[in-house]
Amino acid sequence: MWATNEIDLKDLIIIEGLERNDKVVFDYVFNYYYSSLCAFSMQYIGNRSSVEDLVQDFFVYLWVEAPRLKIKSSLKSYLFTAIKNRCLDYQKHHKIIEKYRTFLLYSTVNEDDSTEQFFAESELRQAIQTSLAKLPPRCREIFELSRLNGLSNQEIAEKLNLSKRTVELQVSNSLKILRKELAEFLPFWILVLLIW
Amino acid sequence: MERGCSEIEELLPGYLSGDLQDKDRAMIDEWRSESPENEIIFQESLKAWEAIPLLSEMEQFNSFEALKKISPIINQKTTKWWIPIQRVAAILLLPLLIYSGYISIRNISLKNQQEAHVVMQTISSRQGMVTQFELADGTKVWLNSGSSLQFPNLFTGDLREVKLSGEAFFEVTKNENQPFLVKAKDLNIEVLGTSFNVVSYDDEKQAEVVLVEGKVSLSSEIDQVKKVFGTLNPGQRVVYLDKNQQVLAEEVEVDKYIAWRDGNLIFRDDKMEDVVRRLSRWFNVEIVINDPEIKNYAYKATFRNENLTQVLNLLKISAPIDYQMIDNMMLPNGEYSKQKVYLMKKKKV
Repeated sequence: MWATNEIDLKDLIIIEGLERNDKVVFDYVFNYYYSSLCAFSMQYIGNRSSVEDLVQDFFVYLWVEAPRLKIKSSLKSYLFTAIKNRCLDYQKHHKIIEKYRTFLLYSTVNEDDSTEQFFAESELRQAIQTSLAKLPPRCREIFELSRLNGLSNQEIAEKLNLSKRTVELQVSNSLKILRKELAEFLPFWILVLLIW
Repeated sequence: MERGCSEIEELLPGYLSGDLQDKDRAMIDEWRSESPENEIIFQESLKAWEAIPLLSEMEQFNSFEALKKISPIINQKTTKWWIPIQRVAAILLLPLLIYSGYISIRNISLKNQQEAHVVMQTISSRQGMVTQFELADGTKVWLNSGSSLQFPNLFTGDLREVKLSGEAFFEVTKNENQPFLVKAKDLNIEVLGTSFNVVSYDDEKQAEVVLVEGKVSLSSEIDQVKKVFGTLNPGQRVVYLDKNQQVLAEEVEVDKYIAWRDGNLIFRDDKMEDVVRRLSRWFNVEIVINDPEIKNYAYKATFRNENLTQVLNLLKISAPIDYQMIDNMMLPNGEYSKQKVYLMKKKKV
């Protein structure tokens, strides 16, 4: 029966700050969400500078219109939904047809916009760090070389003087642990479209 | 064909990075389609696999640089009109003060011309604002949110008479030859020189007077039948009930009744019912108590310049109360309904 969704206290205060054009609050929101909104847009528009322009334009709009916006959802789902709509407009305008919507770590925004689908850089970092800490040190080193530095298993094996087989096992073992850890942290955002 | 899950999981990194041979790839695909559980394992693995690259991608966007780029644009687009109501109220107060100054000056000039044209005028205080002005005799008036005062531009005759609807605080200039009379609904408040607070909203079934200093005498007048209640002493509060034309007097801390002049709301063990009544007037919202149980909850707090959301949040923190806010809605006639707030008992966690 309520017209509004459950919004937590922090969101209420932030939204209220945005509405009265508090620059400190605005800067906070900008710094908190900017990079994740850009990365999110990258899956629709494959061009870094277009993406940055799009997100920056949106924030200018947010500043000017905030006193009249009446944000009723959570701030997060408002931001990501608004950006998604701008991306879709951009695609239409530039005739990009799903070319870059390859495989998405972010879920495609489905109709029930639960906040859990979206996460800011700091939240993702926190989740990754907490889960990586659960790995045995060697395991973690190998996994980071693979996913963070983009080395192939062969390269890692040479670098650490291990057999390629050992590296493969360590990587798959790490993935197994991280999968369970991250599943808890970042609730089930579903990945829909795959390249293969 | 049952395959060991660990065998599959061993192959997953290769699958995800695209290094796997077609035969093994087909095996994983088959495993995925075998059960929803397998598919979930796969999805979660993909998530864990891509998490670090996604973080790296995010890290390449520099929010501080971007903010520097848009800040000048934003500063240009900031219009002063959208700063909060409190500040707007302060600005609106100025013309009113100038206006009242103008009235006083005009009164003097009228006197000089010895042409006492008495004109009745009304000053209203908009929602959420306190308006302060002076009457022709130097009496200071603070008019609370949503209230109005009718008064002559010049006090002639042997009585200074004003009519109040709503809440006002008066600091009456002493003039023993010309008593000051506030008419608030049926209630007449007559004073010589003193300061006191009057609450008398048209839609309420009672009126109240709180005396800060001096002396006031109270009477009521209905259909020209006058009823005298006597005099009030400083520190006393009198409530006049419309239904039986009775008055009830009590000793009170006067501060909480006059704090609104400075934009403060003070509650001292007030019933939630009264708290809600004052908050709804102050913020021009409709507040509904959903749980009868919290109606009599005694509340103690002081609010200074907090907005509605902040007040409600403080209420939530300091009392076993929760709230739900519903925004203004467009009515069929095109007007907007008042913002509504529902209060209810906080659920036990």
